[in-house]
Amino acid sequence: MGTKTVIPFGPQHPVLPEPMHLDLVIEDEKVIEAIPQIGFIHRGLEKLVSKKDFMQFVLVTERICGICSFGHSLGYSETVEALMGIEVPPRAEYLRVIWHELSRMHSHMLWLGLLADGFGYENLFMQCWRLREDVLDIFEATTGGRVILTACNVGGVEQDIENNELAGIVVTLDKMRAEYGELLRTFLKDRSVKSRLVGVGYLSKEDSVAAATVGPFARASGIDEDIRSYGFGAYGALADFQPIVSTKGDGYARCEVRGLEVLQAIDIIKELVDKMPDGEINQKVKGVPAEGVEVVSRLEQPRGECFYFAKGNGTKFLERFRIRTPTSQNIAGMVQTLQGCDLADVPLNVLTIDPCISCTER
Amino acid sequence: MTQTEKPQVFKDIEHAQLRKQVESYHGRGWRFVNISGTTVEEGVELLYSFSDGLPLENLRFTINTETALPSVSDLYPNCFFFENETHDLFGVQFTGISIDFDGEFYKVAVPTPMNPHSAAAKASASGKPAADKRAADASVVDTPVADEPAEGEESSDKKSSKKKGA
Repeated sequence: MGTKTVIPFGPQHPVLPEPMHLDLVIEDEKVIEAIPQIGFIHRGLEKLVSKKDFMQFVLVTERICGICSFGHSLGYSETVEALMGIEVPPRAEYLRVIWHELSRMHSHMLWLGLLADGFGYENLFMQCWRLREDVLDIFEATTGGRVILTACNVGGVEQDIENNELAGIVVTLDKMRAEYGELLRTFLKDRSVKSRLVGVGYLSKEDSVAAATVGPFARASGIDEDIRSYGFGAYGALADFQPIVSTKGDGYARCEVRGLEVLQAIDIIKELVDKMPDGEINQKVKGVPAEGVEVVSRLEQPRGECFYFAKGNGTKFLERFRIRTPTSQNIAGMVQTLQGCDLADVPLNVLTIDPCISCTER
Repeated sequence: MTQTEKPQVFKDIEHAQLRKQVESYHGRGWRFVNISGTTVEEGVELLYSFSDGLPLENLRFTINTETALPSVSDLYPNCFFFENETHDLFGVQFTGISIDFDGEFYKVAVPTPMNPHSAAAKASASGKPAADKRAADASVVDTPVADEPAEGEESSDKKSSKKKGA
């Protein structure tokens, strides 16, 4: 039996775009315990509800994270709408889901690129990010922004997408599908990629349930849960939504689930474009959130279930707004995947949960 | 078109019932979702949320910052995150957290920034040392930066990493 050694991992590390620290207790190159620490970039954004009124605060939520930017504005808007009993026009619901699924595509493609970079496949990394630019171009064409879209607000959306423009988006996505298929084949079939992912960072379904993991991380361990399947918003208009699930539970399965969810997002967008209703895109907001009224809501962000809580106080400022992001749910599961793994596999293992520390600390 | 969760289920409980209620959810296989705090006149209103797929239920109760709550991180491992966060931002005391950061989970400029009425915040404002060691640590953040530790003396960062078992 070897000597136990503690190796600090992070907060600055090549695979970590954001700061997170792990104390790795290792023995003979095997990790026997990992103690996580975050808290380096807490910004106190939730407290800003006392400074920004409930209509302005949507702009703050967009800035929680550069990757899930649209998702946070959507989750916030849906929560406040439930708080105030606002019915959003159907066309706005459809447009919201289209932008949200485009966000999922660019988030997953960004992650696939980072994963390729993590295991040293530079060309694959660059191809993923090159293709992701097409999604950002769609954002720019439809909203004027590439990262912060300012497209969603309480009551609906800020701007419409004309039907001919929607048809153009479908053409772009069809072109992307062919190119993306080649990249995905490399991720799922290439021998060198598989050698870095198959069997690495295994988390059983039982352990995943116990750790209450969410999103692609949970679905890669066989948990059949996706908030989109509950039919909130325009997701209820989809003919047949089935979550993408794998039972392998390793890094390869996480790559497979996210990889296939990009194709699923394209299908969702195409279906909603086909079914797009005409009409208004915004409902005028009257009054303020009533005192003492509380609402919880959930949204399937690219990284998993995001939980929102809002409480009104009879003024234009919310009493409380809370976001619980997917990464905070997945940290305990990540720590479990690290126990027993090789020290050399730690960076990839951390990467496979797709951690977002900006969201987590807010 | 359903926009969000319906029905909204909030169950009011006493804080002393928390552990039993959480054990009940755990025993029935429900998933832990969140702990959320809101500052109210009587202290902090906490919301513990659990889900079993679509059904989502929330336990709601109020606790003052002098009373300690039992941790449920032995039942739901990821609770350690939320319990440390609730301690650092609201001043709520927990006992038995699986990974206890001892008030150093978030680097905050003032003690319990989401709850100006907590014992730690009041102690900091009055300049008196707080009874809670974790609060005391937080209350020194506003003081001028200390000089390098003297020879043979450890910095507070080193001490805290030992506390975590590293």
